[in-house]
Amino acid sequence: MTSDKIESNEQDEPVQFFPASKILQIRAPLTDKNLNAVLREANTVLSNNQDNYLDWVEEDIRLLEAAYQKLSTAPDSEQANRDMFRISHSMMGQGGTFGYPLVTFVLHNLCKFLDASSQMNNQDLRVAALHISTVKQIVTHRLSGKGGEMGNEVIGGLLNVINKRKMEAS
Amino acid sequence: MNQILDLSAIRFLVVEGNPNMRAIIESILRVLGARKIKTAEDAAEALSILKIYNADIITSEWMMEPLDGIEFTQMIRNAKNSPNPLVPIIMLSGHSEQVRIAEARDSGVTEFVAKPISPEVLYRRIAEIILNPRQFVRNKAFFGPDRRRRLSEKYASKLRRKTDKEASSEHIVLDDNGENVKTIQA
Repeated sequence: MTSDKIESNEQDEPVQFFPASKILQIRAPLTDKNLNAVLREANTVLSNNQDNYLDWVEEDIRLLEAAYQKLSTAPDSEQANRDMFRISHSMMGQGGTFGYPLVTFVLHNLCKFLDASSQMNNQDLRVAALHISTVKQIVTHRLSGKGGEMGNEVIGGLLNVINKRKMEAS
Repeated sequence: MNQILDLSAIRFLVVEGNPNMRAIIESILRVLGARKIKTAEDAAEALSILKIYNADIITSEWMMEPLDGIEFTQMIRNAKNSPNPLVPIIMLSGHSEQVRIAEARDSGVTEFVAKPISPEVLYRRIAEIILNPRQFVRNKAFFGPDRRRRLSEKYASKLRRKTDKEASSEHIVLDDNGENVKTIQA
């Protein structure tokens, strides 16, 4: 690793620069394959896995419910909060990837909620539980994409409760 | 650019705790043309693999335990026994808030992909790493890819640092073995 060590004019702190390596450009030349065609193929891989995702997500929901049970028995436990956050975060990333952006939306909200709640009271726990039941409804009713009218209803109900809780808290 | 880069000779390491997502990321990379792919379920396994596998590009999930993606990146960049402190790292995360992206950048991450994963976004980040590699910077508080992506053509102010002036007039060339780079001033 070679570098150029140079004294900055603005600070006395020494700064080293390591030149950018162009070796990957040599290893990865352009092909004659069309990028858009390859990306379409890659998207097909994702859509072909939608059915598998629905199996995985059922298992993830069970894990999420188990984490919630732990949290509800120890609402001030940082570890229980972190476990639930980790599962929610993992599920959040998968939802939209497989055509279920509503799952991502709900769990993104749950992550934010958990992140902001170090100690949960009973009302907070009810809000967390509502997020989980909303995800279950989305999956049970296969509300892919925007979820249509039912999707609006489910998400609208959740947002009402979140807003009400925010008003109570303030 | 409508042609795809040939990724068959690029060595990837995918670090992802969720086995389903790990398999999906690997599948996407394969469709994009990657052939040399190893996977790890956490940072410890990744570090162990890196001792014997010289990865060219690492993709890492942020939320992992016991070490998360940020701590993993910091180990790669700063640990004395790091196998390759300069390896490009793409951080994949459901966290897409600006503050999180800044945290990733400040830890030495090269590129950031917000989940849900899109094959197009993933490919663009890989292509950026390959086609527009960044110099690395080390100072007292940071070691990682230069956080200034490139000098803006619209930047009208004077280049104040000696290094900026030199960078604007330097050319990067490969050595005789085609393995290492050196810079020459124009």
